[in-house]
Amino acid sequence: MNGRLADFIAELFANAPQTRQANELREELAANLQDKYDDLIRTGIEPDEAYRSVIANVGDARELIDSLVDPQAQQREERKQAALLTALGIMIIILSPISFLLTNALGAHEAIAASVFFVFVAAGVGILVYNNIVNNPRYFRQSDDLVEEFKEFSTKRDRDRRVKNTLISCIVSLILPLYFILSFLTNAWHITWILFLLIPLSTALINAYYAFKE
Amino acid sequence: MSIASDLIRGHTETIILARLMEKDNYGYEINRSVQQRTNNQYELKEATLYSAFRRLEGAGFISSYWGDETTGARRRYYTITEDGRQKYERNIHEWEQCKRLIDLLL
Repeated sequence: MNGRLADFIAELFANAPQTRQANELREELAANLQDKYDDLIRTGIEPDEAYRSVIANVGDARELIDSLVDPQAQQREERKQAALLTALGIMIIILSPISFLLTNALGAHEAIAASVFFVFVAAGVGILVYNNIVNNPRYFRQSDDLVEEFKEFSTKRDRDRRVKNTLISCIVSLILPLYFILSFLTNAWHITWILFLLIPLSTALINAYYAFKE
Repeated sequence: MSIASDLIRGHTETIILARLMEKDNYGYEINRSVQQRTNNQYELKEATLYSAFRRLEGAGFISSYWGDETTGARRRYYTITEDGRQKYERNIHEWEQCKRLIDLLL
């Protein structure tokens, strides 16, 4: 391939991500530019002029190349944010006993100490839960081969499993207090146990929903 | 060349589909036939071409494959799909309507 063209293309793709999409575009562009150059030479045009003509027609390829997605960079950003939130959540939880230390020193009421303690814990746990739900890493396949497809499939499957389990434990922790409240209100303990049958039912429904989604 | 090319650029996708209706083709050859047909009065910019290729392929109107070249680098060929043919017919129809209306108004 013509040296100057090769240099031009290398410079054009200097900041492009190392993805299959970017590499294929590069290959296609290189082949087309070389074809055009050869054609111009064949019609008797001087090499310098041919080169300039080819370059001039590339147009705003920079915009096209900038728009090439870099999934690895995205992944890195997401992981950074996830790590930050996790660290923050844990830090806040570790700091929670401070409330007791401070109130002892300041002589404040014990109730205040306990409340502040719980506020810290709630904040920390809240951040961890939020992070866990929002920042599950999603894997973009790097090529269409079997390995990448499987990686993408297995991370998606893990995610689905996590969501399913969270849903099921939510339902179980709701049904338990519901059972007690209902039973104490109606005193119909011989009937309210039926409420527990809702658990396998909802589990089946959730599984059916996910099976249907695929 | 400047004003006309702005107006024509909107039809880039239909132009590409038209070329692919005839036969499978690759980037440079499509551009060359555009140049020839317009007697060198119009030429597609590479950037425009590739953006159009990606949009068309993303919408399922064309698909691509790599050719087996005997010499030089391998080329990326495009072929029109059944959806692409229908889209082409629709676009032609729209263009005819558009032409008629504008001719009436100008």
